Amino acid sequence: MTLKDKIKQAKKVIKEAAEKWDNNTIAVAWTGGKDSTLILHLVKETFNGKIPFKVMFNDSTLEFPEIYDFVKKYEKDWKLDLKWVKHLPEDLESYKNTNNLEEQMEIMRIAKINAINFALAEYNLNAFISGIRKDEHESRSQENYFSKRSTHWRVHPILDFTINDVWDYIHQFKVPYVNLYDKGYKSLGEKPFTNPVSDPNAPERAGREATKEKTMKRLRALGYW
Amino acid sequence: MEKADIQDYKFLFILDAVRKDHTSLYNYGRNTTPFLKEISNESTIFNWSFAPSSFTRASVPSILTAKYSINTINGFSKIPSSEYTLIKDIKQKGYKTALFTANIITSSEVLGLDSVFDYVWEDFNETEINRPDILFSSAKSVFLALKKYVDNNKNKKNFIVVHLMEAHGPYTPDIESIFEQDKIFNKDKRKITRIAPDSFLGITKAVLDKYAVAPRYQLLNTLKGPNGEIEDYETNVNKYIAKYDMGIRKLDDSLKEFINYLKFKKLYDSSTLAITTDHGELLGENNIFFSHGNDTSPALINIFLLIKFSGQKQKKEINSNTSLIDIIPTIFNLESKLIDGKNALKKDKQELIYSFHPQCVSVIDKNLMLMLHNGPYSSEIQILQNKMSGDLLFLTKEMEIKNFVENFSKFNSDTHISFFKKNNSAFKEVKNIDKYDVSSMTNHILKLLLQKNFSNLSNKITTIDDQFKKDFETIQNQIDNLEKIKKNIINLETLLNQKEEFLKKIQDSEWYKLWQSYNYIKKIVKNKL
Repeated sequence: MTLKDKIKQAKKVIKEAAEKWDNNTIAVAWTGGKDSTLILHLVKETFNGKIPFKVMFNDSTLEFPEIYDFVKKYEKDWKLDLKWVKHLPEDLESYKNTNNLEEQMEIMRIAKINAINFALAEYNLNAFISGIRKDEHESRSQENYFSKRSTHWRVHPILDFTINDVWDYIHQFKVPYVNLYDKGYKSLGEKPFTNPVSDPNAPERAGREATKEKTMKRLRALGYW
Repeated sequence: MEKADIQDYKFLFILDAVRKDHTSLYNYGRNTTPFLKEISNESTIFNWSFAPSSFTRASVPSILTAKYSINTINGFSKIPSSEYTLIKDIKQKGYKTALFTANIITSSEVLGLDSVFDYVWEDFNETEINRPDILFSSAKSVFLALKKYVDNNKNKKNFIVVHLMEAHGPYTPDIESIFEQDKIFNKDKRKITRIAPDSFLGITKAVLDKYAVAPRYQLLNTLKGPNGEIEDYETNVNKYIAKYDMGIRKLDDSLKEFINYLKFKKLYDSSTLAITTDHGELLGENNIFFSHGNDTSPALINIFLLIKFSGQKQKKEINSNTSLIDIIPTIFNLESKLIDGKNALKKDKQELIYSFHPQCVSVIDKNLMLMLHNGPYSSEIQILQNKMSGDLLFLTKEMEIKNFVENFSKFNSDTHISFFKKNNSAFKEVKNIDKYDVSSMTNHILKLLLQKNFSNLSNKITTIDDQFKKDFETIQNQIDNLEKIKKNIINLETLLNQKEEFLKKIQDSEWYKLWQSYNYIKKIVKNKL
């Protein structure tokens, strides 16, 4: 499959979603990162420069300042129906109440889905378009373009894109992106947990594998003995 | 006796996280434990059994030492191997002791079982779906190893502890549940509305009033992000419970299979089998879903226990309270002042049962459970992480009532006292308590609590206080009446004495003698006439 084919397929998925549900009940999940910005660009291309769906930005309050500037700029330039969804106050409170980095990361991972689920109910959404790709992680390799969840549908237009496809598309169609990628960041998470990667060949994400020692180490760290 | 004649197997099966009311033993609407129901016809059922804590890390060491957590060195953290004197006593009686565990929390390293058991099987070979570095093993692999062990130790006296994980979350992620789409499934419309960290950090009463909360490690059907973050998950509660029940069924099936093996080997009749759990599971109580170790409420600590004693053929039901710390003393008929557990068949029925948690304690009386909870719903993980800071814990190692009431009274925010009353085979929360439900010991605890001033507890305390006042007034009136009666009796006695004295005086008097003479003369005259 060439990039051209993949673009064609992605646009087909987006169109199908638009036909399937009331466009008011569809939202694009936008993080300000390269993949979800690419999705916004694709939607814009599919509908002659307009984005007919809601756009949901989930704000952890811990994003890079560059991300906030970027989101604000393109909200205006691209005339987005932007829903600024902040993490729930209780999760932010818990975050403040612990100094343990691993626990802070866990709270933030959970806070994201808690906020998204809150917004799905709040805006009565039927479908949620996100920029996940099969090549990112093994757990995503089994995903489909349309994935039925317990409360809504997930739509994955760029499932077939590789990391190289993403950058090729961005350069070819002059899609804007946050300059952090040029500073060595491979994947943008919350600011306190994200560092630039010095090795250019490092994998985009690292996998984990269980061993008894690892488990024992974790249990020991948790205070089991 | 020939060596070949020794057939003494004592098994203790701990089926992790199985709720009493989700077993067919207690007439659950799903056929989760047909085998336990069958074996119960030739077993002793302890209808009111209690786990000594609500999480494995505290409960299992209590079972194995027959001591409450706060009576062991280090309490809720790692206890030294020297505490396991009970297992050593069993060894002394000539038993070969073994532990087969599928749970890494009851591995020899975590429990500090350094050479306590003669043999430990702990080959963890599976990985949890949401915690990639947590290992466990399936019942299938445990029983495979156990059968081999039983075969190889036939002519010995054996005590074998088996800990199985099928009902523990995440619930049977790889198995389709046979209970999906049944009546119970279709009736349950509840949804999970929020995920908590595994430690339950930040989950307060206010959060639970607003959201239906489940811990992250339990989530099923997840859509995972590249960094392991969860982008979506199954929100329907009925899906989870159908799978939880399936886990219980799997345990029941594998137990049946193993016991058939014992029957085939002609070892069953002479075997003693104790089957229980280490704690229950919250399935929506207080809006907490799929969790344990959060407090010591009835769903977590009122558990099932059955013991088929060697040679037992008839069903027997015990309705007095029993703790899991009594299991080993019961199956070995042990008595010792060094342990808290007792032979449940010989136990004093009035004795109180406890269940301890670092931030919660339950006291179980004849018909009533009293629970003191300091507020946060932290799970064991956070409790263990915070054990040094002490900011969540009110229980100390000393078990005396005066200490835990004293410590509890230091927590002035979000603390609560709850009462639960026995109702059929479960407990029901009640607002008021009846004086006949509490023994003098519980009364003592309540009185100590009443002496403390908790602004947020005033309602309940007032309720108790009023009840006490009423009771006291009734008794006082009765005493007053008795006093009056007593006074009257004394008065009567005095009058009687006075009468006696008066009579004596009369008898001694000249007038009386004269009167007697008169009567005498009168009699003679009458006769003459």
